[in-house]
Amino acid sequence: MIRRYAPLIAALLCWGVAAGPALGQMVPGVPAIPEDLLDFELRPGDEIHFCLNMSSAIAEFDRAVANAIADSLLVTAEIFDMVDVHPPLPLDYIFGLSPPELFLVVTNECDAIMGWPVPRTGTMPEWLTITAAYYEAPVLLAVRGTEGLQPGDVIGTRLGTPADSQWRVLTQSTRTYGRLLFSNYQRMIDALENGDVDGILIWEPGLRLATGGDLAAAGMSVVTPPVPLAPVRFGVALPRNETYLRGLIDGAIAALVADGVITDIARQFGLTE
Amino acid sequence: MRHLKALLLGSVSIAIMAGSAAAQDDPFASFTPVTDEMLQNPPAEDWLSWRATLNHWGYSPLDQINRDNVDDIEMVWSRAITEGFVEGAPLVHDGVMFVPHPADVIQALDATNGDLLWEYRRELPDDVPAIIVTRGLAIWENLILLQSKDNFLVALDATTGQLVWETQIRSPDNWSWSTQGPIIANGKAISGRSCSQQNGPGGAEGCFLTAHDLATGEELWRFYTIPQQGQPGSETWGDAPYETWHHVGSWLTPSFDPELNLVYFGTSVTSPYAKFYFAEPDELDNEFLYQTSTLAIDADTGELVWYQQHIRDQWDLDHPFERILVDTVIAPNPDEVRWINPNVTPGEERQVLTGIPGKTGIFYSIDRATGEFLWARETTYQNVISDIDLTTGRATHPIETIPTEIGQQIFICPAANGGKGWHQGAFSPLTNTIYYPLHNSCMNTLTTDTDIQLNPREISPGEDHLGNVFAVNVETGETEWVFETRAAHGSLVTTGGGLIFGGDLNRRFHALDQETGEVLWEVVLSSPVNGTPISYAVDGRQYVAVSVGGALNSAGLLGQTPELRPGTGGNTLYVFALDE
Repeated sequence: MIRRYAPLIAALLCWGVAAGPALGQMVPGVPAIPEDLLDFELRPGDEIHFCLNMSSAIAEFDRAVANAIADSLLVTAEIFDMVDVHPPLPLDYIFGLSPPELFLVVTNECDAIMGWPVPRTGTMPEWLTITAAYYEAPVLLAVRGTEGLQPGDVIGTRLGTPADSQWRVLTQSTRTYGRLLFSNYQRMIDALENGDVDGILIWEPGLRLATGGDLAAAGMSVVTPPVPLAPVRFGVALPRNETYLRGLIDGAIAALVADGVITDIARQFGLTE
Repeated sequence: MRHLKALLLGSVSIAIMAGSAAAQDDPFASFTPVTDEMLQNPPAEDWLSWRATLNHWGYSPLDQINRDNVDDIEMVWSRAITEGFVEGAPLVHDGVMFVPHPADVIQALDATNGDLLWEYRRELPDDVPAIIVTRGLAIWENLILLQSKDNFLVALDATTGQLVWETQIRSPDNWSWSTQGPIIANGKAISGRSCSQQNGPGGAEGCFLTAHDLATGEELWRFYTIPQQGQPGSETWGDAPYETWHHVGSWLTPSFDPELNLVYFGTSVTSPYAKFYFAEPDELDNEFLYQTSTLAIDADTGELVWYQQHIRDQWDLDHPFERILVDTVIAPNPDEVRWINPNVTPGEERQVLTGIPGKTGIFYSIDRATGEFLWARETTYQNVISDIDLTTGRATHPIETIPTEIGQQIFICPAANGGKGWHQGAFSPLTNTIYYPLHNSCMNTLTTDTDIQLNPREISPGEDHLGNVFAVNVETGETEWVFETRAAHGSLVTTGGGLIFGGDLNRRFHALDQETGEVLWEVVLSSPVNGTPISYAVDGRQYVAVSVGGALNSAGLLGQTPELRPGTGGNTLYVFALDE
């Protein structure tokens, strides 16, 4: 795998820069560095090192997807669990580590990061690129009971999510509904149960994990939102210069999605019907 | 074997028995406890606080190395620094150097040759965040004080490195942590910390300042840098739910005025930075206290005596930097100082808190007893402040710089690395001037779903260099000179020899003339000069020390000068002196 050979190649490149011209004079026509050592192809039996966001509620799903990606490329997934010192936020998918911390981890531990939310707007940190999404989680409007929304109802939203952005725009333009911000999905669900809010916007895996997949037993239902809510999409983030590996993973993801493998894994972990 | 493993993994202090020579010449034999009086008026040969003195001057009165002979100094010893980011300043007392390494490793070294005397290596949980930077320590009596990455205030025996006491500071449920040492104020260790971003566990409860009794480690008071609900200042958050109040911390060491018994903190910003994410449209320009402010806190009680808010941030332009305390005549020159309080009488003497407290690069002079705004001026180019009220100091922000919706692109100067960043400036009483490392840097911001994106960054329009050392007279506010460097510039120390020592991220470490900014001596080191330089003396010989290596924001700064490739490995401490 690229990572396995990187130190050797770097050393050889350094050596080649220094010694190349002299060797070229000594053995005309013979490259200073054997060409096979400059061949970066991934071969069967190599390893891809994935970093896993252990603060995410779908970390084990991501682990299974990483293994599936590696399997489809006939290589092995070596997985590094990124654990944050702070307790993870329940039912969430955000990274506990900040971008500079992630940069260090990626530099030291892995080739690719699983579970990276694909931005709806904007771009990635300058040092990252992202593959196509391997999983798309719908964002749902959950309410108490089975009644739909009424004008004036207050909806709980998660700060810093695309759904919150959409709801903020809606409430400010129509004034039909209210918006109450939360930084914690569990507290948002508690607020719904307590009657502090009339509905909540939540990604489907979070809601299913909170209710054990049985909304009716939890006294909740999902209703159609007044605006289509953008799903949360997850891709694999890589250092920006890893274009070769990104291409391979993109291809693997496309095949796994088309074959229904990802959906099967999501179902296995209770993230979808 | 299990016993050995436990020893290796635990927080360990290793005293070095360095053979008969060391036994005969015990470097701690003449070690004297550091009193509060010494901290408030340090011996010239020592470096007892993060910025040498409690007033944050960053000044050593030593003058053995001076304008006439600095060209003759040479490296006398060097020593490796452990892996991680190198942003720290050592302390020196009685010939012993206490070095804060990344990841809470502290070494006591013989300050004449770098030989190891003891080492403390704190056992950190595996899941401590990867940002492992230790910017400073403190010393009091025979204790070395560390704010550890696992959120303890740790007191070590300065002569052995053995743990004396430790006090946990934060609740495990609240995200907060420190990279800096405390300030010592009459037997108390007073400190601030970073706290939860919008996506972090906990919230406003993690944003606080503390004082600890140094004799016992007991916490004496706690002041919240985000007011708790119902407290004065909480009304400035408007209708934003308490749940969303985040991140206003204080992440560098405060300064202390023993006469006024006030500690001066600077604070950071909210998260998200842009307020429209969590505030109502008519509340975007609220104060959201105590973001981006200077806080004057009673050292004994923790009560807020006064505060001055410098900006109402939307762009991650923190204001946590060193607060420099000077007693001076003030006579701001209207030709260079844009904002002058009409109540200022030119020529009057004031006790001021002065300098650049935040990333805007605005230079302020504030009466440090009352908080009265006196004057302010720009240094590097900025476009986030269009005016400052001459009597209150309240800033006006151009409406076009305030984000209001997703998808907005706004060109903001300076960039989030700051016109001034965490690299420290220094004051010289010889010239009544503060010298600052500054950046000509702007950013093309974009409001995304989650927060305002602060990239890409670029050198300010019309400039061809990112870094400079900017000299401002604290009496007149006049620019004395500007020394330009293509790369970003690091922290500075001033000396009684009329010199300024500092280096840039392209590995150049130099001595500048305080009067002119002329380079009098320069050496090329192995990595970006990110450590804080200091000067000290042992047995009559003056030394200058600085560490090099990567820093939290090195990549962001170096990315603006992409042709410079200084490398970031090889963390090393270098020490220079005149030949004996």
